[in-house]
Amino acid sequence: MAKNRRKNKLRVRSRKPGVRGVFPGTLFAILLVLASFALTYLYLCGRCDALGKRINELEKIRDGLRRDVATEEFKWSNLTSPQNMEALLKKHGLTMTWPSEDSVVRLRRNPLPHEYAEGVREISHD
Amino acid sequence: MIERGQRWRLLLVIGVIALVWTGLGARLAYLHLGANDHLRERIESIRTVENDILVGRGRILDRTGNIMALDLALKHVFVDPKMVLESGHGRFITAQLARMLELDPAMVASKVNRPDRRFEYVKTFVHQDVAADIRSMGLNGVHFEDVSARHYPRGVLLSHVLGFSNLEGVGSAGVEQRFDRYLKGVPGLRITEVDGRRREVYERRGVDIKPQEGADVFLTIDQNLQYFVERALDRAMVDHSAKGAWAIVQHVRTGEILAMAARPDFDPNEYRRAPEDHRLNRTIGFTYEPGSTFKVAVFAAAFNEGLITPDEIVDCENGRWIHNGRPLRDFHPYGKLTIADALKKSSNIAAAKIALELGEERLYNYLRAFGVGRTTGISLPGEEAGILNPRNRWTSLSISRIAMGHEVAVTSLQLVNMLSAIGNNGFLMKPRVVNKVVNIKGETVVAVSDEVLGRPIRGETARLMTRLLARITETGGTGARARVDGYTVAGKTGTAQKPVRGGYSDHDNIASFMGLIPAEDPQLSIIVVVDEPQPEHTGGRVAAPVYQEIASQAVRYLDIPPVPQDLAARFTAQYVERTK
Repeated sequence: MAKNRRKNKLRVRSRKPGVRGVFPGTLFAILLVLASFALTYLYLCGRCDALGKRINELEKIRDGLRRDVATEEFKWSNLTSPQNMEALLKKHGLTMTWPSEDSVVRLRRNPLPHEYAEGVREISHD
Repeated sequence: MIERGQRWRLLLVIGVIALVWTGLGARLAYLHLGANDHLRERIESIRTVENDILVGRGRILDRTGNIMALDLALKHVFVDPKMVLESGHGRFITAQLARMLELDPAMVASKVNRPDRRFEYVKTFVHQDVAADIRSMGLNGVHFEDVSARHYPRGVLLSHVLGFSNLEGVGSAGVEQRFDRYLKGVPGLRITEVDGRRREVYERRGVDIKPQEGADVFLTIDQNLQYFVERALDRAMVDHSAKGAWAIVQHVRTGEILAMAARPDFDPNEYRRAPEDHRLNRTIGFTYEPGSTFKVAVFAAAFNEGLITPDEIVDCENGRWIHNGRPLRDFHPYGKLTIADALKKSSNIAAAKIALELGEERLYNYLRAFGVGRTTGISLPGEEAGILNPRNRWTSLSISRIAMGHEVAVTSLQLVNMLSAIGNNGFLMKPRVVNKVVNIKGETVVAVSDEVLGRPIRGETARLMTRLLARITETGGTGARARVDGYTVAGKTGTAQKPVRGGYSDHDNIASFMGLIPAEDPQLSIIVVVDEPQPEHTGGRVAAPVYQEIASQAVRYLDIPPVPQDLAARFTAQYVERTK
């Protein structure tokens, strides 16, 4: 007992006067970990929030683009419609007619039906 | 040093603050940990939003990918009359809206000049571009509402085939109805939470079932060919003061319908304004006694049975023949004709005699085999089966009347399909208007292929019939006006009196012409029907020229070359010689 009391006395004496004691290292480490978790959580939370908003924006842009595509397709479809072509020809005073059959020069012949092909072969052998 | 009084005040403030925080903390703990299910549910119900994600209908395109129907993002333009009037520019805004929206200024003014109102639609379903132009003007009190609407860019073109979808987006006629389950897609579902400003909190999105966009339907129709056909029909309606007119262009080998049009027509964009009668697709939904065009089936059956030959002589009784006590007449009186000439001249008496030789049972069976009295199975709603009475309901006169296209009712589609079978070596194909259905990923969901329904006649008979029908468009034939320069047309005219109570009308007829082109190697089968033409009323004079107009453009447009005439003539001569 006496030995322990002496030891304690020595400990007390070893402290500098006016110093209250060092912050416990373990507690500090725990608090640091907790703080970093909290900060990471806050960062990730903010990041998720930002990404969520971005996704929402992109979804809206995508929908808008889809609408635009449909509108452009509609316009193109109207431009290439036979009604529009005819109206434009009329507007510019152009008259278009089909060429008569004897004015058409074909680079290939009609593939003859089987029985004709047979017949032609026979004729050519005659 | 803090004085004693100040110290007490400080303690009091700290105490009050601590008390407030303790109270708030306690309340927070109570709200979170206590039994407050009703509160939680209430908050959750306010924050949770359940949205059905609606998808647009798929598009309908022609065989070359031209859009015939699509869902379009449009805008409703509405005004806040109070705000417009308070801005002091009421007249200017009214004038601008009327100009941009192509409306009557008085009508717009009547909507704007209502200071007691806060909402008035000015025009619905306005195109985005027009709405953007109006928006750029920054008019006070003018607002827009986003809407999506089914749109048919071609208006009346192909209206009967396309049909329409109603305001709920449900296909209610034509391809829109028949392919509704592919076109409409599957709506998605999203359960999510919103913040105080009702903006979605993405990370709280719980259920997110993606919608399946509607698939695109590709038709067999060609929009340019369709346009030629509709223009020809419009002209026929005017030229002949007709009650109606319709036409079909079919690909002989595959059964694909390349064009299908009917008059009167309607604009599917404004289908509610169209009378019921105008919405009827007469090519498949109108049955009529076909008259002489029906003789094709009777002659084909007799040839197929080997009962007659083209050179055989038949007595046409100088235009009047008594059968079972009732007279049968020809349009023009003829004496003795070869079978080939009887077909060329379209003799009713010859047709009746051939049918009698064939007999009731065989005639009935052949007609059924050609598809008379039953639907063809085309993928369009509202197809009629026509009428072919069962044999036990035939009278002693029936066989002679059916032979000339009376006492039987058909649709134009049945007739053109029958003719296609003759042009297709006897194979009766299933007519179709849809090629495929393709989903948003570009995968083919439905691929419609050619389908053979049967083979009512042999190939040899079919070729013989084609050659005999080609004589009808020669000089002296009833269908000479259907001739197309450079090509041979194998066809048949038809003029049928319309049935009225107690008999047949003297002045109301149905004139028709159907033909194969080119006859030597049939590619297209076309039928033209004109309902109640005036004053001309025969198929040869009314329908044949319309056929000529359609066919001559169709062969050029589709680049169908004619079979060289010298080869065709030499081969035909050889073939005839050989068959003798």
